[in-house]
Amino acid sequence: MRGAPAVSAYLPILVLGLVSFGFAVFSVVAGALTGPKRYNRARLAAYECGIEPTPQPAGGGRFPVKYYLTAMLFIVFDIEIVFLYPWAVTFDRLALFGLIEMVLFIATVLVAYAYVWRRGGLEWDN
Amino acid sequence: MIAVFWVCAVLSVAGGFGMVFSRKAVHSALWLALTMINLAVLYVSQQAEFLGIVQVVVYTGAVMMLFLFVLMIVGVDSSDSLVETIRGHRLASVAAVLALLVLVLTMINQATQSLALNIVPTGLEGANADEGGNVQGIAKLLFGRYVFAFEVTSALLITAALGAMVLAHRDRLTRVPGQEELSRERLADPATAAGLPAPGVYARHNAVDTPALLPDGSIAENSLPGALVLRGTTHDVREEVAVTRAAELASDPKQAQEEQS
Repeated sequence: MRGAPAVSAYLPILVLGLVSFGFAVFSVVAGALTGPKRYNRARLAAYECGIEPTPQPAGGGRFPVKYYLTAMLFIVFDIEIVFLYPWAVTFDRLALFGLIEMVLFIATVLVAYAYVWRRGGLEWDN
Repeated sequence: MIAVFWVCAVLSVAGGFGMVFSRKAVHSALWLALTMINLAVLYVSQQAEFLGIVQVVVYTGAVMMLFLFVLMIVGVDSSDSLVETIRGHRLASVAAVLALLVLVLTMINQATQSLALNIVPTGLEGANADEGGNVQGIAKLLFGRYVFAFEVTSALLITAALGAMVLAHRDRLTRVPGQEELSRERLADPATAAGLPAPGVYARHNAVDTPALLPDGSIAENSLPGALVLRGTTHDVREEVAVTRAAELASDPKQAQEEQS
């Protein structure tokens, strides 16, 4: 694996990135060029019964800390998944030892899962 | 390879500068995401595919989301404070920058010295070829030589989950009334049995911020959404009510006399 084939394997991703970037630029530019620009007060108002986008409430529109808990728990179990990738790729070569290792690892992380579950960390309205 | 390095190195440094110099915290976070993605491309171009993909999945995916949540908790619009809240913060920052500078200079020095002695860096190509791939090589080390560190990582994950629960979870002290209870409570009270009055009388542009009028002409405060009342952006209709009332009385002298007496 010299440099050239390794790079060409990622060429589709590069092309995908360029296409999405080009689409975004095209949409913004085309919208700005072709759209009519007739602004008035009624046009900018929320239609019929929509809530007016009022100025941010005091404190800069702060969100509840519940979101942080969700994000933290997501990262914890995301890291667990990261360790599963190399194991899944080579698990027939690692044989029984690898399986025992992984069961031990998952069982330990399951303790955290059980704790979070029992304390109601997974329930939004709790 | 050289082209990938120059493009991604320049972009990641630009992302770092953008992060430091942005006035808005959310913009800083987006600049940081640019840096992280470019680092991932650099890792992949150095044959460290696993590290590159994990960089995207964990850092640009999960950690970036955590940063944005923290920004939203603190408040996106909250202004920067220039007051030093941690004692010795500035001194520590300067020390950290100097330490990093020494580290980078040592690295560059060692690299140039090796190159002068014709020691060329081999990269991961050989190691990857030995094991049949980058992920396989990492698996062999992770589940072989470093198995203890791997198992201890699970304890670290428990600690992280526990810390998140202790810091951010709040046990509810009172029970939340369910749908059935709320429904029964509403039906038990004749005033709300038929539902709350809908807002919108005297609405001119935004119906929800304008309260309803009850049949006797009084203003129904409970027809307004609670969120708008909290924000204080509801429309005061007392003036309109007074004007309409006066017009009604003027057109009907008999009713006006009744009201007088």
